[in-house]
Amino acid sequence: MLADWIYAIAFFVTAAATVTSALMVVLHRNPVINALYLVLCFFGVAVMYVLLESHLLAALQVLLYAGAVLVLFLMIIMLIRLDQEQLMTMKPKPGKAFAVAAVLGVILVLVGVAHSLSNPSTQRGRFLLQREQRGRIADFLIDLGDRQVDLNVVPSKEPLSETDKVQLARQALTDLGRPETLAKAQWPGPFRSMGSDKIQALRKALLVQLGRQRTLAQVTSPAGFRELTRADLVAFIRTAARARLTQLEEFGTTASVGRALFSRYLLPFEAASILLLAAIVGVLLLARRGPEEGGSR
Amino acid sequence: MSPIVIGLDHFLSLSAVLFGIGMIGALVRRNAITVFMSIELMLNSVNLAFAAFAYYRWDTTGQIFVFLVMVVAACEVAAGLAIILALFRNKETVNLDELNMMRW
Repeated sequence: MLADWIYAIAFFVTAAATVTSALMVVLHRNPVINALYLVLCFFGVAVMYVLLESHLLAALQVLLYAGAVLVLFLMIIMLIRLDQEQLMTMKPKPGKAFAVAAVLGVILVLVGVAHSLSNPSTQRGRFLLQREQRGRIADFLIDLGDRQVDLNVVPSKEPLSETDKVQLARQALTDLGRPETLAKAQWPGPFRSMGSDKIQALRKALLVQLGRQRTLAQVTSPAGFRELTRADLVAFIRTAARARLTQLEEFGTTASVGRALFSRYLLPFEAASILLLAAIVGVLLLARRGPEEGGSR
Repeated sequence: MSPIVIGLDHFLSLSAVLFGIGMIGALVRRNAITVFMSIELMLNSVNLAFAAFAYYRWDTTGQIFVFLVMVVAACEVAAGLAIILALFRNKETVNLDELNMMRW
């Protein structure tokens, strides 16, 4: 409850500061002032990243935008030395472009407001939802006999109902379908020797059963897996829940972003590095003075 | 009184507002440097939308996109400002209305 309030206040204060500084970027005549307000705006977006639990992005935002980009802007402003009368001649020309942009902006905002009014608070802030989810999964793990639940997770006080347990088990098994979560699973006993196709088959069979059953106790060994005992099935669901918990804990950390960047998105990453190299060479060629202007070859 | 719950809608609305402000700036201003800043503002608002979707869908892919957009934005700023610098050396102005040598 209190956390909800703090989160909402943090969001609205930061949003107000960000929008105000964005307006100053657009409205103020002096480019130096524009650049400084732009930094304030970037910092506001960085705070938004923190609120979205994307800490790596927040750090990059401060380093890249507030650091490097701002320095570039200020350096260019200093290099080209515009005098006051030159600045004054550059009056904004509203005209048709302004009308189009304003109308588009108003429509976008109205759509957003109408949408959030039409379904209020259906999507609870994930920041808080995630905390509760972790607690529930920890409860579920303890319920399934896991003795090594992470102490960072505070189990909630309310006991889990049977429908809750079925729902948590289904969520865990569904999430196990994602390769990132699957990689987190540390399989015990009988599953360690299974191939990934067999694990997927068991996962799907259990999901089908959980869709029909009312309690977790009614789940039986599916066809093709008759040799599995009830304890094995519990161990399977527990491993899935544990993998999901680890996955939730890791969201937005440098480790999880880095792992995705160097495995699944390696090609875009390398393409970006080539783009940077091309940009370095291009900028050097563009900004260099030619020999006829007193520069060196 | 129940607290206001901040959801995906709020972040997307903020992103839309920032994008609108950036677009107005890019279309209305005549100072090439300020137009560039407005474009940066628009890129930032899109990044915010990506991060919000990543968070509410619990998927790291959105964050990878933000990372790549940041790289492209850095390249774009460096190249764009170099072009502005080269233009200023030749024409002694950064007023976009006076830079009309490519008009026929």
